[in-house]
Amino acid sequence: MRSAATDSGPSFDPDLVPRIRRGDPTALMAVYRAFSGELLALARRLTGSEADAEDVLHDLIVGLPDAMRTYDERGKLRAWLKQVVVRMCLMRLRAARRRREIGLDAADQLAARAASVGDFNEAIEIALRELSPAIRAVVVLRFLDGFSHREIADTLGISINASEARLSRGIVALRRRLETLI
Amino acid sequence: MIPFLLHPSRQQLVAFAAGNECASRSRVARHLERCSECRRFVGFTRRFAKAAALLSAPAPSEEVLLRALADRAAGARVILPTTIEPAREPLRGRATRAVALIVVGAILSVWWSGRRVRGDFASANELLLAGIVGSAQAAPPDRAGGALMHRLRALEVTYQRWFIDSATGRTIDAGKYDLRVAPAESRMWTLTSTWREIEDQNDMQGARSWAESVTVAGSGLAPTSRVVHVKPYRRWAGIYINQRFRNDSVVGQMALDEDPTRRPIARDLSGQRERFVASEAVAPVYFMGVPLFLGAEFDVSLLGWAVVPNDVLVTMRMKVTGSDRIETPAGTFDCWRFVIRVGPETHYHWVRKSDGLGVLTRRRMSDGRTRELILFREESNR
Repeated sequence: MRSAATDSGPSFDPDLVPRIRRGDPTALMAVYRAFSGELLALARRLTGSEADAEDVLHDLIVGLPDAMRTYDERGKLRAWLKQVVVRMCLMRLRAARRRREIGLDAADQLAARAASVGDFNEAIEIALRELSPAIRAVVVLRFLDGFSHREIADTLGISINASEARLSRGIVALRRRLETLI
Repeated sequence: MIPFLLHPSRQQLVAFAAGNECASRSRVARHLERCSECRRFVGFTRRFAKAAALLSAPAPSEEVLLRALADRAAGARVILPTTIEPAREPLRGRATRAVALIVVGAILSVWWSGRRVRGDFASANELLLAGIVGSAQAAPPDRAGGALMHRLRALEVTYQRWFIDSATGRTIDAGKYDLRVAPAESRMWTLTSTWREIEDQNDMQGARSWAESVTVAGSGLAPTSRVVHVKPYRRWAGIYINQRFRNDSVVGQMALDEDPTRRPIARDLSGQRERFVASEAVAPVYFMGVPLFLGAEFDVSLLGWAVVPNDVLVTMRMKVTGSDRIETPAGTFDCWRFVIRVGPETHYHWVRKSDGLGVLTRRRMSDGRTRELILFREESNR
């Protein structure tokens, strides 16, 4: 499995970093165009909401110049951005007064429909949304974004053991929903 | 030996499936040779990892980028969590957040419809930015704390709450909010607010009615007492909050309707340098009489019910970023536009230039709708 920290990802000119810190719109556009696709996907899967994901991406661009002052240029910008997005999503989820969950019946119907048309991707997305945010974050970071357990632990502020335990719990839950489909 | 005792842990199986080298790998491999259940688990883990890696990513929208750049140019700022913030117990901050959402009207999104607002916001962001910088240099923003001089007057106003579907533009009425400001003895004011005709309780803790009364004193709006009654409240028939303010403390009691549960309220508010809004009822009139100007900034805290430790004060950073002409059912007004940051969120709030009365708040909800609280009716001797 690839590592989020070592995977260089989309090309991005590191000379743009000082311009981002100054809030140069052109540099912010460059960041957006280089990374927004995977950051949006990450945010969407963590929040379970397209609207929330877009809000996270929006806030990221608005706050990036100030936040970049703490960015260590020796690190990988892509991994750093992902860490920030993950934390933004978790803060958003914590702030939500109720979790948006798909009811089990609805999920069954969606999963069945997804299976009937052979759209396994949709079934996986639904199953991911059914996980608790804490477990979903680990599963998404590990399997979809290639974070190591150490990177997950650093990003979420948990121990490596906790990351491993959440992942295994997530797999057990996903297996119940998806084994007949995958 | 009992076979199931030899099963590796799920964590070991997941690590094995990922190909991680570890001390137990050979033991797990030997176990898998004879355990079909664990083989199926490992097989599923690998298939899932493979399928998940192939999931498609959505195409990012240029609209999000353009909106973010426009908001930055308009002075909006967001503090990103570049360091880890300890997780908070999820239930306890609900009351404050619920009030925060309703209250100050600080709850507005960066999403821009332009539906009722005319002005320079969408079209002249660069000029606006220059204006903010110039104003800030001419008159340093108020960020140093200290008491604001408020100037209330007797009035009765009604706000309309509605939800706007961003896809269709359809507006759904969802309740009305009445606020009455009346003079009381000894230079004090009593502010009474009532929600009625609530049609969507999802963002109001399930409440059908929400009434609040607070008494404040002097130009500093120092609170002396506050009473809140919400009915129903989540799974209870109702909740009753009674607060009294003594020196630097708030004391009182929480009680539940039709339930013997009682909890004391006793919080020390000293050391809180931020100004605080003592009640939802104060929010719409908080800036009455306060001189505002482009670039002015305020750190304001909203007082929660204070029953639990992390439901005492929620801090908001508010900044005047421009002026707009706002159309409301009660008339059209020249207003100051506030950008308000509450945690990671950015919201918008407009107050009338002539007297500082709150006119419009806007927030984009997580379900894609936009919620507005807009001035609907006004009765006062202005």
